[in-house]
Order: sequence, then C-alpha cells, then structure tokens
Amino acid sequence: MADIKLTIVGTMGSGKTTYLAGMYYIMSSGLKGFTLSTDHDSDLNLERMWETMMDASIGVSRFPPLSDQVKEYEFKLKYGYKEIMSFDWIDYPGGALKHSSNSEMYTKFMENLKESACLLLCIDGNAFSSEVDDPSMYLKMQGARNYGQIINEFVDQNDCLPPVSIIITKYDLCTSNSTEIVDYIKDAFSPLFIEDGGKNFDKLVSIIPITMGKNIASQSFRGELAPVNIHLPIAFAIWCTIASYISKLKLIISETQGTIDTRKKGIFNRIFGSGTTNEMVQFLETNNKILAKLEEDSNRLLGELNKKKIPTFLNGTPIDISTFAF
Amino acid sequence: MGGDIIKILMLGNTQSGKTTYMSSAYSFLQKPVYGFSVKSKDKHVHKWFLRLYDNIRSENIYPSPTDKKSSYEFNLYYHGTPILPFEWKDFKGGIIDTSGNDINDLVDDIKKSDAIMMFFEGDALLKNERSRTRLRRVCNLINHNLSDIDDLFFITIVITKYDLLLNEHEFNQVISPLNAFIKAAEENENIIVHVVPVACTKHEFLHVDLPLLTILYGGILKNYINKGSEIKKLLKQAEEYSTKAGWLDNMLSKIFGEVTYQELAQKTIDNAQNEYEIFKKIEGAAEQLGKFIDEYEHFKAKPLYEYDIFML
Repeated sequence: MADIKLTIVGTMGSGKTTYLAGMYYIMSSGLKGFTLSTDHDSDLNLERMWETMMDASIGVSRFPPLSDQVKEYEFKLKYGYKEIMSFDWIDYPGGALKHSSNSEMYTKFMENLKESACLLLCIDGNAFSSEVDDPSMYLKMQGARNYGQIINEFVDQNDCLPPVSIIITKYDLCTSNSTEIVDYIKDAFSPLFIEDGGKNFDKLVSIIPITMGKNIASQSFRGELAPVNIHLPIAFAIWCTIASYISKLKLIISETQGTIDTRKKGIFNRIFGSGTTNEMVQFLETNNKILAKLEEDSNRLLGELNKKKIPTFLNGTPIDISTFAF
Repeated sequence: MGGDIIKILMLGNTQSGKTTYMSSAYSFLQKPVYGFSVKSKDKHVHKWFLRLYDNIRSENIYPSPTDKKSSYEFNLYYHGTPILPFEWKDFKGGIIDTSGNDINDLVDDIKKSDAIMMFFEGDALLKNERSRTRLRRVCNLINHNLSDIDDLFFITIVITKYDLLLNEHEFNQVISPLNAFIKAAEENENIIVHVVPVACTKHEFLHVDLPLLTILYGGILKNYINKGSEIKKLLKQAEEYSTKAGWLDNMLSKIFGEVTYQELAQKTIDNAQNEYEIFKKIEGAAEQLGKFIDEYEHFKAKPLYEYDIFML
C-alpha cells in the first residue's frame, strides 16, 4: 500500500493520460536525480503508450484515446534511488464525473478525495489559444463549472480540501500571457481562490503549465515529443504532503522535549522515571533524524518548484513558497 | 577468509551478449590479473565456459541465447587463496519483455542481489529506439525493486559489441540514454556505477576482465567493511568484559567453576586479532584491485580511506 493517494481529474480531452505516460516515461529514466518507478506490468503498459506517442507519422492518433474507466497506478518517487514517498495515482476519466450524481464512480471519487494528499485538476491549454474568444466560458463549457460544484459539495460535506494543483496541459497551444491565464483560471474556478469566513481549513492552490513539446502540434501533431515541466505537479503534491508531515512532527518533537525537560526537574522522576525518560530521549533522536530527512526532501522539491516560480495561492492570495525552505 | 557469498545478477536484452561475456571473462581470468583469478566450483561449468570461449576465439562462433535462468558459483582467488565466493546469475534475455508471473522470479532475485551487471548491445543502442526503451525498462525494474540501499551496491553497465562502434563519439551517443540513470545513482553515496565497453571477437577481447573485477571489487569492499565492523564489535565486547573483571569476579568464578570476565576479555581480543589478520588480507586485495580499476582511464576506484573504517 502506498504512503499517500493523489487524485487526478480533468476537463474533457485535457490529455491526462498523455500527461501521465509522458511524465512516467521521462521520470522513470531519471530527471535531475529524481526517479519514478512502478511495477513491471504498469511499466510495460505506460511504455506502450509512450511508444505510440513517439510515432509522429500517425499524427493526432499518436495520443491515447478518451477513456471512460478509472485507472490506478502505484508509483515510488525517489531521489538518488532513496525513496521519498510512494503514492497511488487515481485517474478519473474526463467528463465522466457529474456533479451530484448518485453513480458509484462519484461516490468513490468523494471517498478517494477525502483520503487524497492532493487533487490534480487538468485543464486543456487550448482554452488560452487564439482560437478561443472567451477562455473562461470555454473552460466552463469543458467542465470547469462541474468541477467547481463537485469541489463545493466536497467542502460542504467534509469541511476540508486537500491542496489543489491546476495543471494546464497542452501549454504549447496557449497564446494568452501568464497573467491573463491565471486570471481566467481564477475566474473559472473562483471557489478555490476565495477565503471562506468560518472555515477551518486553508485552500492551497498551484497553477502549473505543462506540455509534451513546444512544437508537438505542428504539422498536424507530427511535432517532436519534448516534455516540459512534467515533474512539477508531482513535486508540488509530494512537497505539500511532506510540509504537512514536518509541521506535525515538529509539534510532537516539541511536546516530547517539553515532557523530558519537566521530568528532569522533578526529583521523583529523576530517581524512578529515568527508564521512561531514556526511552523518550531515544524517541526524540529517531524523530529528529526523520525530520532532517523530510526537510532535505522538502527543500529538494521546493527547489524544483522555485526554479519555475510556480504561481501558488493561499485562500486566493499569491504566496511565495520559497519562504518555506528549511 | 571468503566471507559471505556475493550474489551478482545479470540483466539485459536478448542477444546482448551475456553468456558470451561470462565465458570470455571466466576464461580470461584463468590466468591471474593483478594476482586475481576465478575458478568455478563445478568442473562441468569450468569446461563448458572454456569451450564456449574457444569457439569464439578460434571460429567466432557465439553461444546460442540463454533460454532459461542459470546460476553458477565461483570463487575469486587472490595469489592462489580463495578470497570471495560469488554466485553469478544469468536470466534469459527476453524476460524483460514479458509480464505477469514470469517477472516475479526476477523481481525476487533483484531484491536479494548484492550487485547487478546490466548488459546492452552498443550497436543496437545507437541505432534502435526499441533498445533504448528496453534499457529504461531494465532501469525501472532495478529502481522499483531495490528498496533503500544502506550498504554498498555496485552496478556495472556493460556495453557489449564495442568493436561495432566506430569511435568515441558513437560510444558517447550510446551511453547518453544512461546519463539520467547514472546522475540519479550519483546522488546516492552507497551506489557505485561503472560503464565499461567490451568486445569479444576472435580478433580482439577488449576489457573482458574489467566488468567482472569491478563488480567483485564491490564484493571485497563489502566484506572489508563488514569485517571492520565485526572487529569493532569484538573490541567493544572485550572492553565490556574488562570492566566487569576484578578480584570479586575471579573469586566467584573460581567457586562456581565459571570462566572469568578477564579470561573472556582475553579470548575476545584473541578472536579480534585473528579477524584483524583476515581483515588486513582483504584490505591488501582491495587495494590491489583498486589499483587495477584505476588503470582504466574512464573511472577511478574510491580510495579505501573514504570508507571510514580505519578506526581500529
């Protein structure tokens, strides 16, 4: 069983599966010291998709067809072949989830999202191309409104929301500038970018543009496969998880340290409770080692996100995540 | 003096030349190289490898592709003394193209291995995208199934059929798909990766001893480090016994007919001394093998002092 779950959904035709195959193929070979791995059967399956994508001669048919099935994969993210974290990747078919439906898929999605460390929401970069007059409307027509409602319903039911990464796929098609794109996204997914008074949780949202190649769409999709930014959504999701672990662990360490200090002061405990105190000191040492490793991993992932200055928002306000470095 | 048996696993595509390499390296190392030689524990295997080598050397006849998993046990000798027993396991090349249960056996062996030799055909890597895909597949298999590596782990990537590559530029092109794998491995202080081009033809046998000896160097270092820790433990134990020794213990032991802590401490120190002599022999072998690896211009062996066990 993996350490965490990541749920991925997307607007119709946003290219989630294409993204997955590209991201996996590149990261399984190794990217900046990071590697992604999976079991052999899933590896062969994803590799087949990539090989088809490599065949430029078939044009747009090189990309995986639309799917109506939920697909699950288990991956391990490593750095220098040391495991950072394993995660289940749960891929919901674009357009299949309908707000307030009583379908089994919808119920399962709500359960999965509750257990997920991050929600990855893919939107089609074509929305910001010169072919589209009103990107906000285009996004809503493609399912943004539906996802907005689903997220609202989730928040109402659970009073929480995992961090969200909005992935702009096919970024090579975008002609709008980055400020305009961010504004359109904020408009289309407005509930994610507002502060709700009285809620007990924060809404952490990043916006990450990715592409399978700057010229992939040229000559009727016969362009070269050269993925860009594909590791960043995973980096964001895992970084959020580690950051949350770190803050919980720091609390435990601080409480344990407090208890040890108190015990050292009391004469009774100094005589009769030394065994328990020693156990607590050992516990503290172990947790400090775990903390050091988590901080190291967190800084590595944050380093990747900072290089590209990923737009990140906390309750709708832009934040500089570089300040979270240890 | 041999220490634990080192498990070496070979992985590669069909016809990447694993069996050819095995027989060539084995036959080549019948004569000592820097004092090191290799002997099979099985007479039939010994004869079989020599015959395969002879076929290549005289007629350029290569062994047929392996159709099953094979495992062989050998000993590495240093100046005629067995210094490292090792198991060399060869999987049929096509296994990485299969899925389902067939792969479980391999996964199990990856998890149990102490070192891995990966074989790729140079010429195919240069010209064939499918070969590069398979290379990635092998890397995934290793990456996914090796859990946290707390111990030294040696990986040697053997580029076979080097004679078919025209020049150094082509060799660099061949290894370019491996760079990301090597970069990730470099971030882990316990993983040592070597890339060695080899050729086994009747006209030339290039570097045939090097891949096997680099992998065995890893095995010797592992034994060297383990022996060092063993001695450390013995000395610590002797110290503990010494602190408990004294006139009271001597008297009580005499009454109850038991061994005194002083005697136990002395016995443990004697054991440590014996182990230290073995340790020095392993150290001598490791240094010599390190020198041999240094001779190869593409990589340097890590000096022994960097392994942090000169603390006795």
